Amino acid sequence: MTRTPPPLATWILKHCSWIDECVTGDLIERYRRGGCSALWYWRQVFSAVRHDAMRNVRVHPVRTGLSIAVGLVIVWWGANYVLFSLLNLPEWLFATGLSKGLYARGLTLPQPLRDFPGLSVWKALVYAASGWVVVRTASGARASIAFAYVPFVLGLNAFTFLQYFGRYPVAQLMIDLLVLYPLAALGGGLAATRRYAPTRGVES
Amino acid sequence: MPRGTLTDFELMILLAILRLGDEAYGVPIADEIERTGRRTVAVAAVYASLERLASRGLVTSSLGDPTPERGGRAKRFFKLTGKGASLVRETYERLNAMWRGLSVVKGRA
Repeated sequence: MTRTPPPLATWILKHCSWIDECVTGDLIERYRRGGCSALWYWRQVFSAVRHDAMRNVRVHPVRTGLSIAVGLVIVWWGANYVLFSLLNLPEWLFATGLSKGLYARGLTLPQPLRDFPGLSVWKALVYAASGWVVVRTASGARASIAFAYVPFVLGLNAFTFLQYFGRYPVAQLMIDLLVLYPLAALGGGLAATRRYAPTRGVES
Repeated sequence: MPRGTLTDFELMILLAILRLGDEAYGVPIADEIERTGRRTVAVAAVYASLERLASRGLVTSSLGDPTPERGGRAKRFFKLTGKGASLVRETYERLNAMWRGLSVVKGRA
């Protein structure tokens, strides 16, 4: 029976341009030959993604840096200011005097949608959007950029974690800031990747 | 890394290509380094180094035909250029000169 390597890992490989043809084929061949576990395959994939990200940074340092910076601005500004303004739009319009009608008629979002757990979902969507923008603005829209973005998100969220420490339950902060949001950023980034057409018969 | 020198990993890759001859592509190169060079390597690390070596004109590559056992993907075969072979020889001579006369080589230290 032919062993099939973990499909998600192979999907990630296919979305790293430099890697697609040569490394993917080699890893599948070696996995099918036997003697290698799924863990070995995943380790090889992460190694390939790391090399692709490093290569991308080396070749396009400014563009990659700018893409990641834009993503972090979206997270910081979007999740902290824009999102709150939108979720509390009737109150905001009322307070600014632009339109008092909505708030006066009691048309506000239900509390669970404005507070935990609804707020976590909205914020996760902002993180996913930031990941999407990072990958699409970086050179080549590669899966490796989505992975490279995650440590920066974690760094920013570690700072936020310290800011909110003691004001919210630690478990909630940890799940939201260190697990859910980085995963959302990664998911958004991976959703933005493009598959590269394999090259054949090319001499270098 | 100065242009005229090789890291130990690059040297291992070039030697593996020489040992494998016409069958030098990612998996056998990594296997050869693991088996003969007794060093664990990631296939992607081999490719990253091969790409650097190619940009220095030390190796060339060509794509073979896709095969079913590779999920329909082609193999990329590598060959040393004349410049690559000279650099391997030079490195061997340089290292040999450094080792010469050292008793630790023969286990007498």
